[in-house]
Amino acid sequence: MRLVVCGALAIAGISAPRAVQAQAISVDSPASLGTTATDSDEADRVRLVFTNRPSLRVGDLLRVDFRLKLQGDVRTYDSAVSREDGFEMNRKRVGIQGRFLQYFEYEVERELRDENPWRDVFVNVSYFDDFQVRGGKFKMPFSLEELTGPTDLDFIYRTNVVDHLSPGRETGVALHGQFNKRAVGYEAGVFNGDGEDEDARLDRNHRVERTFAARVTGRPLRRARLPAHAGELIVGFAITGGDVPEGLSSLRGRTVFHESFVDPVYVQGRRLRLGLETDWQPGPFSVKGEFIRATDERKNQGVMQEDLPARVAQGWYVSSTWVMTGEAKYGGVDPRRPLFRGGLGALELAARYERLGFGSTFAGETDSTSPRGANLLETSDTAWTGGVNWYANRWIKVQANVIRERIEDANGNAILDRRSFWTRVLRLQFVL
Amino acid sequence: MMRASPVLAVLLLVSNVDAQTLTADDLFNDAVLHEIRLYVHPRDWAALKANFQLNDYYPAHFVWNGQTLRNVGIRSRGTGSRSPIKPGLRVDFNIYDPTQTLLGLTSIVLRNNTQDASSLHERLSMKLFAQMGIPASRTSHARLFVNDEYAGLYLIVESIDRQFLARHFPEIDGYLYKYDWASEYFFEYKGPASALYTPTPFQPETHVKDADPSPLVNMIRTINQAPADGFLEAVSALVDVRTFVKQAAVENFLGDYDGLLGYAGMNNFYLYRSQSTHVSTFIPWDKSEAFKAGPFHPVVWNIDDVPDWVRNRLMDRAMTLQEIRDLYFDTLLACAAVASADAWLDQEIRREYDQVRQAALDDPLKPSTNEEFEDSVQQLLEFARLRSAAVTRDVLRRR
Repeated sequence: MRLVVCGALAIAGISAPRAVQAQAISVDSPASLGTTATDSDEADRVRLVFTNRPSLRVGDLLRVDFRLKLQGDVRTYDSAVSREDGFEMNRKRVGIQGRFLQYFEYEVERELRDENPWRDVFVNVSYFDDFQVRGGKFKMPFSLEELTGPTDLDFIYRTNVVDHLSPGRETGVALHGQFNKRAVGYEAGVFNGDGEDEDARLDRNHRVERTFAARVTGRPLRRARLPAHAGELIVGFAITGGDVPEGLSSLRGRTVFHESFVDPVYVQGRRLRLGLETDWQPGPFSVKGEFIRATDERKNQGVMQEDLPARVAQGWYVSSTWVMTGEAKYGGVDPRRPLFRGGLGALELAARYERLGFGSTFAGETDSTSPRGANLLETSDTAWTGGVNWYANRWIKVQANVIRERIEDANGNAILDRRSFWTRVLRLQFVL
Repeated sequence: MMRASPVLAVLLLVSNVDAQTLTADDLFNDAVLHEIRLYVHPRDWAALKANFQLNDYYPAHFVWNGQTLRNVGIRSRGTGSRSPIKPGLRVDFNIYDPTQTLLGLTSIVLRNNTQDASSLHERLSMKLFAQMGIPASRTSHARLFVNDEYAGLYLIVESIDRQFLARHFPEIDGYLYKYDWASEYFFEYKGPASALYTPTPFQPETHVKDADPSPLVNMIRTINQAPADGFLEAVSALVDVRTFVKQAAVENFLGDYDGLLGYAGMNNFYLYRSQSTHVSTFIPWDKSEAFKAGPFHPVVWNIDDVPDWVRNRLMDRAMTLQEIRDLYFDTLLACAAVASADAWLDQEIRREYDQVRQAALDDPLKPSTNEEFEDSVQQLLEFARLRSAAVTRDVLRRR
């Protein structure tokens, strides 16, 4: 695996000059496809071009961008953690994305592994800009951080809050669009399950049959008479709802080092997620935050088959970044002076605080960890993350994070062997 | 949608009324046949029975004598006695709430006695151990109801845990092991690697996360390799040899062929190593196989009458010393004397039989028939009638 990373880094270095020459037809995402100035001039011509990545074009009929995402992590855990330190090739993804017949956009991405290999596999119909339809397997519209691709994150790992409470990918269909010069965006869909995390959590017999999800984002200060950057503040609200069949299938929580810190409880009934989010990226700075609350009904799940108060999983995070070399944060850090072009890239500092807790709505009974307890003892994981991101160029990113977690119950007792744990991670990333 | 049992509702009302006056001794008061009610979600009870070979815990409400403990943990337990029909149960009162106890007890065992048609072997055995001054679990019988349905006659057995240790040892912070039979083992030294001994067959019950196996390995090496000259002194610094020999004698008197000198190596005991003295003491456990060897079970069974390689190494070496040999035979004679004095064993069998008979006959889930129950009690009475004399004769002949 180390060879793969080294090879990718070498490719990035070699391809840098050619890539720069071709920057005039830069394409970054399906949303921006079709905006290039040269498309109409090159109608019906088959071309293979390299901007940020290899791309096959057949006039206006077809466009295929070839994607490659490699991430390798070097981790060291706390001495109290049984997991072994070392290197792991965390992501090896290949894929294609593009458009065909003018109004159809697509993406197919596959992880190079045997288990659950398919990531995004969807088609988007963009005939009406404000009312686009997407179908296939893709992320449910919930959580700013979850919807941010793994190669664009400010930190190596997503927060525990988002990782465990947001549903992730699922097959379904969604309507989405943006209004008022992209000041307001929305997405609403129906999905066949509760996200792919559910597969790891449950057997197929206990799956949520159908989940509804919706998310609205907007720039409320856009028209306010405030300093220019204030208008870039984005706030969002999201909700999901689905019916969970009877089973030991509550949402779970794990530490950064993959140790469970909360036992599952029996649930049955409505699973409701609510999410609030904000994102502000003025110049080289960024501030982000989310609050997520997920409740699981526990109908007939008491020892005497009585209804129990809902299980509650709730958490939030606040994070901030600063690009020390001055590049703008919005849209992704693009180094002014990339490596191999006479510069050293861009450097960014990042800090984050998060808390994820599990408990229940109050039942007036003694706290218990019983999977059928009325009043569930609250357990929580709070974590600080400090990080440095080095954007060597637009393909290579190196991230270093130090994470300190504190895991305890409501009485201040340690749940695992100790209360506090350190994790250190260095990530090497190459993206085409 | 509350579906609470009317019985539980009443019990909840009177719950804890007598908490101030009751003690754990009341739970083990064998003068009465107790009644225990467990309330378990039907799905969990079905899962426990379906997965009876697993040690998965399920939440339950526990009701005894006006005491209601909510959200205790129950699981299937046992080795040969595990059953999907009449599960043996371990009840942990504090598994979901560390502060919850039943009159100071954190757990009990509800023995299903599926290997003992009389259901009396364990209770009679533990009573004799106690009379012989050997630390032994307290027991009493109970009718068990699960979700208000009679689930059979069970034996309440005191767990070997910190509460038990507190009753028998000056300190309780030492290392407790449960012997978890995996294959024939006769206490031989298998090498210096601790993994050869623990967690199988010596399964840590305390200090699970900070196990220090080296004293255990050292004890076994000393038992096997200490020079004959000074053997007792060397081994006694690490093992309570005398209690071990007394326990072996009581087990022999009881006709138990599945104990320290069992037919398949050692079995059915705990080992407790004091943190201050570093001396390990054996504690008897699970005597469902007692009495089965019959009243004429040889007193030197698996001691002098088997090849060297299937002899228990500690017993074998200890019995070469006259002092220990005398202790073994004296303990057998003492057992015989206790059992025969005022026909104690006979009377105890009859007393317990009278107490549990109807509950046993009514037990819908027991694996034996009512005729087998009655026959097994008759065999016990026969054992009581003949055993003391047989042992006395055998001891006098072998000495």
